[in-house]
Amino acid sequence: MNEDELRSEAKMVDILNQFEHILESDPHIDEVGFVHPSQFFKLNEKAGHSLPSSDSSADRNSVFWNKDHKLGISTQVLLPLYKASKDAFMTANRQFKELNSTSDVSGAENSLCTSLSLDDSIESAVMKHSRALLLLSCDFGTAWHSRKLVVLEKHKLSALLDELLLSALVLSYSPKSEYAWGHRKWVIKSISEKCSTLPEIVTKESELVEKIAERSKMNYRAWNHRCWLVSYMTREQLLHELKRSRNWANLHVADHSCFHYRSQLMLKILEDRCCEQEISSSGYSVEIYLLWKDELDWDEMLIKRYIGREGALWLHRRFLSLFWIKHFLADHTGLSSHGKQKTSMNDDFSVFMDNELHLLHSCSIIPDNSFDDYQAQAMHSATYMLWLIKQIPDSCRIELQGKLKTEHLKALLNKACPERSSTWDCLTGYVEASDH
Amino acid sequence: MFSTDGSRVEGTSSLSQSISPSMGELASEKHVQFIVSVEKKKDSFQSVVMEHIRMNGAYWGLTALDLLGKLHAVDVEEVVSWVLQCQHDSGGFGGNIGHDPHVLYTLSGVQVLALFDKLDVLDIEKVANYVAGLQNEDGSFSGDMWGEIDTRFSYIAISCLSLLHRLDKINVEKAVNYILSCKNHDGGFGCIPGAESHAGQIFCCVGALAITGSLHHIDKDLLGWWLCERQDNKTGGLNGRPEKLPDVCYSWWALSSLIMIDRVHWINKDKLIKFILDCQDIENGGISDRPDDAVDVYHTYFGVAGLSLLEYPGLKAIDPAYALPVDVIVRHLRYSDIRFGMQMTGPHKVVGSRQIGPLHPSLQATRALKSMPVSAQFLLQQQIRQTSVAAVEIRSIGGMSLHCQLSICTRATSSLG
Repeated sequence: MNEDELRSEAKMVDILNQFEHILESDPHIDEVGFVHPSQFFKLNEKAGHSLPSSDSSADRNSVFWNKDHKLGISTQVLLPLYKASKDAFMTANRQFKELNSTSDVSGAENSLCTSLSLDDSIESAVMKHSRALLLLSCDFGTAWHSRKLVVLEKHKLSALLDELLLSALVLSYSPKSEYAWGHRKWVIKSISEKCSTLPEIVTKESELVEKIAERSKMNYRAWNHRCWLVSYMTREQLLHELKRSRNWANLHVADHSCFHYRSQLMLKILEDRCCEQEISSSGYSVEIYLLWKDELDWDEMLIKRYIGREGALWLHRRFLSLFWIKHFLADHTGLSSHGKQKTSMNDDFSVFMDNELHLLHSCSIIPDNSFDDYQAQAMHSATYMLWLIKQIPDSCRIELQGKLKTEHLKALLNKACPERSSTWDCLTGYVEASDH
Repeated sequence: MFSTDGSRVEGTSSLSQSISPSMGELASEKHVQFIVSVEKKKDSFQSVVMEHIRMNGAYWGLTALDLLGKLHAVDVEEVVSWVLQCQHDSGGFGGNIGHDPHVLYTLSGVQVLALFDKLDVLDIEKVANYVAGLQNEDGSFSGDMWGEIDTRFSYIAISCLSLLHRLDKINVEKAVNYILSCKNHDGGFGCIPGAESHAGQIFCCVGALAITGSLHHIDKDLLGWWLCERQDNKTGGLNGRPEKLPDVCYSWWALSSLIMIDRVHWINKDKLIKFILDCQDIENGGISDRPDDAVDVYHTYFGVAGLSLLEYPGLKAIDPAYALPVDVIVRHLRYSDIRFGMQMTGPHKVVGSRQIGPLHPSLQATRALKSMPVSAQFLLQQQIRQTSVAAVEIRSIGGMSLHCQLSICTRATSSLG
């Protein structure tokens, strides 16, 4: 190593120290981002003049910017800073692992006192350096794992809760980080057995997902996390979440993940209710009926408001209709097979399908000088209907055929989207084949 | 442009003849240069920050090279020795030297060694024990000791153990049932029960079911419907979920799934080929997620693999379930002959999907069998012992592409079984 390299390495260790010092001195940092140095000036301006300019750490060398619990890191130091934090972490991690393996075997040889204090300092080095590293490389799995090991040894709830803060901070710059989401899951699982404030944590988690989903559209991991939380929710929480996510969905009608989340909430409510019913053995629940009806109406309203723009609304309708038919129609047949019930089932089905046919009709009009939106709407409505025909029980399908021919749907699809005529051939062919 | 070279497939398919001249061509040489050069770039944050998944990167890059017929562009010994340095005492592999083990990197390590026909350097038992040890009571798999569960890990475990001929170490039935519990009303699969359907997860679930000979559990029409709706009407590209932009990587995830369930004719293949070709960087090589975006190894691999599935000329055929070149799978599964008690009728080379001609029926059957998932082979073979129906099935389909054979044989297996 020559003198220049030595000097630059020393400088990098210095910058790493500075970075870790900022993280240490402001434990409430809730957002981190990588910024070009030229943006530091603008950031300072934006932050207002409440603080004297000399206070900002950015002025020292324009490497970090830290105000109002926001942290900016200059893109120019990312590479050397990453290298320095990785080296520091890997060294500490090696020592940590060596210590763990020797203390198992020959712990008696060391004086307990020194081994404990050594333990502590190595553990805190692992925590310090892994935090720095993870704020630069969010899916560095080994760093997340070592944190878990240290936290487990501490046996403290507060240590676990601190991990929620760090992973939230990582998600602020990398909302799709697989490991950060996994880490949260691990923390929640760990505390779910011993923590009385679990409902509170679940609510906070759900809010976090919503906040992240706002910036990171259709984030699979984020929404999955929220779906996973459903199993931990109380009945009140389920209903509250249903209400809350509807408001959100009203403003984000293209976000299929949100509709999937709603489907999971509804299924959980249905499932819980079914369990109760087995005990009480009453008829099907009016509450569930109204829940589904309300969702179908709301979905229809959105479909008509956002013409042809959003396939997510139609896919949600597939789910709603499928379960409507399966649950409410099956409920009748399950209860009794005598004449009166059967008629009412057929009536229910007719009423339901008439509404859907009406919707199809109103969505399949393509004006002559139409825009793409109307064609997309027609395509969505026709594939929806075709899909539904395939899913309904045979007896109902025969009844429906009197009112709607698959050839009409095929013609509509070819008109709305001629580019995919071969696909429409396959799909209609498949639906027709299952008629026989 | 596709100079003939021993490792390449010479046959052309009807599909490749239908490729219009205006479509542009695959810049194979450039892509090879790009892949080889990526390894040497260590000067940017973006490249260095991926070092923890270098094992996955090695699998993507090397498989792409192999499909392009240029695996020899890298130093085998160097790669093998590096792969071994990533292995832990537990048997699992890390993403790089000094990184913790995880099944994600264990499968990539095994796949890379399989590409080079170097699986014999491994302590197979040890690797298999690591993977099998991650199965949970409900049949699911954890990714590592920290317990995150995902159907991706089910696929990885099943694919890995199948390549190592150690599927008997796990409870396959429970593994299959767990995967089926992740099926949604739309026919797709998510990462855990109740999770949204996602084309990447669907590949994992369908691939795992294919390898274990359990495809009959899938409603192929319903899943095929969901998958074919992933094609964008305008660009022809596939997305991974509703309302998302098309992305080249789904030319692997969604397309391979469509092939495994025999519904690939539900999408427009020519348009998809054009989409992938439009995502190439013609000047510097590499393929990106969408036209005009920055290229990377991940999308380069999935672009090339997608084209291979679409039988693009000049590329080796890739197995849709194992995500390895078919010749690697054929060569590799030869080791299982003793286990499965199969008789090889002679040395043969199978390179692509077009070379299955009028062969001796038993050899033909052997080949068709060899292109199938291990458990399907096993099942089918038992059937052959008991009845000759399956053998007849196989004989009658010589001349079809390997992919068709795969689905037909699997269908034959399930209908017999």
